[in-house]
Amino acid sequence: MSEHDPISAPDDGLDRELDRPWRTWASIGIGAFALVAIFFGFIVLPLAEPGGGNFLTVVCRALGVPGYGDTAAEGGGTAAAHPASGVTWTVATLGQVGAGNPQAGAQLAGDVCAACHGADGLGQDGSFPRLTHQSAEAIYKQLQDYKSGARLGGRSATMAGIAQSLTDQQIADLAAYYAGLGKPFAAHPVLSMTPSIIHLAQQGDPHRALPACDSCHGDARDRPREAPVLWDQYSSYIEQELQLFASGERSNDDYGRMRDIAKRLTPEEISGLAIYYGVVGITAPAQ
Amino acid sequence: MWVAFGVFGLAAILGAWQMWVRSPIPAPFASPDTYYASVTAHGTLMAYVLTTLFAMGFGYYVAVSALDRPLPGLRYAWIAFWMAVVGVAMAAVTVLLGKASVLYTFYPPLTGSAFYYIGLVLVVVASWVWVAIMLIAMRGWKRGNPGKPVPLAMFGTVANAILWGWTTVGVAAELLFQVIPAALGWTDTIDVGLSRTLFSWTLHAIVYFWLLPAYIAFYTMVPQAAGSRLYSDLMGRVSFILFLVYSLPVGMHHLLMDPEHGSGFKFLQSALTGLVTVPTLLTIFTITASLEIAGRLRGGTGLFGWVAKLPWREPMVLATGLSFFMLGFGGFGGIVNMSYGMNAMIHNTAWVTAHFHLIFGGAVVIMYFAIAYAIWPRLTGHEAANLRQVRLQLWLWTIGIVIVTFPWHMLGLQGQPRRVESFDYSDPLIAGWAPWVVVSMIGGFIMLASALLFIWNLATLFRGAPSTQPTRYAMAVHPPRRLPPVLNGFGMWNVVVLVLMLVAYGYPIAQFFIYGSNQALVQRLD
Repeated sequence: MSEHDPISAPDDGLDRELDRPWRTWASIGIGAFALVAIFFGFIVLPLAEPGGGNFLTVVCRALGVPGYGDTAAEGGGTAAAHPASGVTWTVATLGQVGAGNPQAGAQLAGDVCAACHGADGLGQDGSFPRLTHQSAEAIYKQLQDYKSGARLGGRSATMAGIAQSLTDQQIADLAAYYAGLGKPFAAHPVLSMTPSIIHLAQQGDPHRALPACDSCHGDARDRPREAPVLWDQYSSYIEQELQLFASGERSNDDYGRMRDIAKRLTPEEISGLAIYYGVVGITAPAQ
Repeated sequence: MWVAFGVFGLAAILGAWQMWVRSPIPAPFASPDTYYASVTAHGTLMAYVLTTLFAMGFGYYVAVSALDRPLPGLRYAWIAFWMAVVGVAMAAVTVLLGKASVLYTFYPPLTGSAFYYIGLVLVVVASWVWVAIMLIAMRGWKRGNPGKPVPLAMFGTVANAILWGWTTVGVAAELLFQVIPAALGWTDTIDVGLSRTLFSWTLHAIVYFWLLPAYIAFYTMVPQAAGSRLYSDLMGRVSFILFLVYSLPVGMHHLLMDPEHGSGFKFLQSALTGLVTVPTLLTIFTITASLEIAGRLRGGTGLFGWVAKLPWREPMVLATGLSFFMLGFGGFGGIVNMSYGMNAMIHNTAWVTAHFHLIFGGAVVIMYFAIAYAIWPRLTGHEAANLRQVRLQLWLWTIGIVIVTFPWHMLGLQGQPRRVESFDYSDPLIAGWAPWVVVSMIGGFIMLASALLFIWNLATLFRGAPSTQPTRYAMAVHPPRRLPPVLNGFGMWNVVVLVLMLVAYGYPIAQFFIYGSNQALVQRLD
């Protein structure tokens, strides 16, 4: 980065003499301006701001030192956020999900889940959702939300009781087991579907600020890991959950995203989307 | 140059199409995916590729023509050129495949395909070769001409090369240590605060890197084209030095709404940003004075009579007039952006887009056109057959950019967000935006017409009389005979930049290492 002037000029003494005023005054000018800006930015203006505190507090706040409550840096307001779900996606959470043991999960699933969701995870009829081909994160989040009471509506009372009896490790084991069941379902053509429903699913309706369902629930690699796959879920289950989101009864969606979306869908769109993605519930053959 | 202008043509098409998508009129191929891929491609090609390749090509041209010496390291220059071409191809193909729709400002923790970032790194590394060659060329000339002032065109070019060296450190650190490891899957988390801080280091200085070729033309080509002399060589040197010093420790005005920094640093960097008005005003004064000499020599009288007498038929003079017009409006808009308080009104709105399209797309790129028209005869060996098409192209560009950006400024004040694919114009709150978006879309197509005409002009016009004159840069009214070495080199100014950067960015970057960082999960888009 540095660049050396070749000192090959004929008269170094003259050069130095020519340089001196420039070096001096440029340094003074540049330095003085910076010092004045620092004086105002770190002392005068912060002292004049509401917030108070002694001199050291005020200067530390202007520097942005954590703990000194810079109103810009740390929110400062009194409003507290109320997360919709107790699950936050951190490295630790992902590590816990990744530590799930599918063999232990299979054992547990047979004892706890199979009665309603079937030994193969495909559910028994339309009112018990299919658990296969979901990501481990999706299963993990829903079980945790049942456990914490974040997820309401539908059969949440039953599920809360079951989930509360499970440890975090057992939830991760179940998630690992179901994630390994069955290969991801591919999108299948729905021949007789209204074009507007297909467009809603694939492109969304930006004019109504509705994103495409596929952007989170499709098979793209960049979708949120915890968003459930909709393909081949029971239509009746999809419709029921969209209605619960629309009424606000189910509210474990981060940032209220699904509540926002479901509220703006018409009943016809809700049932159309449920048919587009889902399968009609059938009673599983007796075991 | 052809590569630069080729991608410019492609990106101009994308830009006009993007405005069509945002307008109430249904556009072909419109979807959020194509829109964001297109915005990424438009920004990447215009802001990184066009500018870097243009600056490199123009720098090589100046080094040979102003110093009157062969280019040192010609072989390395060609290697760097092909490296840049490969990098551009990698980045452009990745974006157009929709594998890196992260916008040209990257926005971690979003990460696209690693090919996109690695392609950009290749372009940056190629430009570092150019920086080295510029420094070696100036040093070689100084050795051969001890005590003599470096020609102003080369002085400005080396100022820009050094500025670029400093500028790229921030983004290179972000890409190499944060984004590329994330894109390759080596890391699952990224400290967004740190990466935004590093990007801000680059984000404002890069603007002056784009701008300086235009200023080099103002000082060294415009007075010559107008048949005049440069009013002051000293002002040119001081302006280039001030741009070098005050384009770097100022980038935090891009982070005024970000939570990770204290208000004191934001104020300090905003205040330092204000100083870039100084070289801009010095330049406008000096060049206007130089043109006034030309106008009076041609018989102009009175306070403004000389303006009418200027040789407006010369593309370089016409482009300068139009550029100053756009620079004036764009400059005042920019003062709003950099102000700690006022920025909040227009943050992330169409105002910001309007500002940099007016300054960069308008005032600067029109000078790229003028420079290309001025040096094409030397490169092709033929003068332009006629200049009418050239002037038409320059006028169309200016009219287009005014029609595009003036509505954007108004819409930005009304809160229209930038980088949004479509709007619900049936909502009465924003229904009033619709006609203005259509107006700016029309401006976009006028600009596109001008862009295509520019490429057509370069390809077809230069078939006239053989060009025999060597390139002449403007003489100063009082040509400097002996300069203090501080005004003839950059040793001291590099130290000043280092000190100011330590003051302005030292703690803001160090805090991420002192207090530990907040990691966000990487979100992969490829």
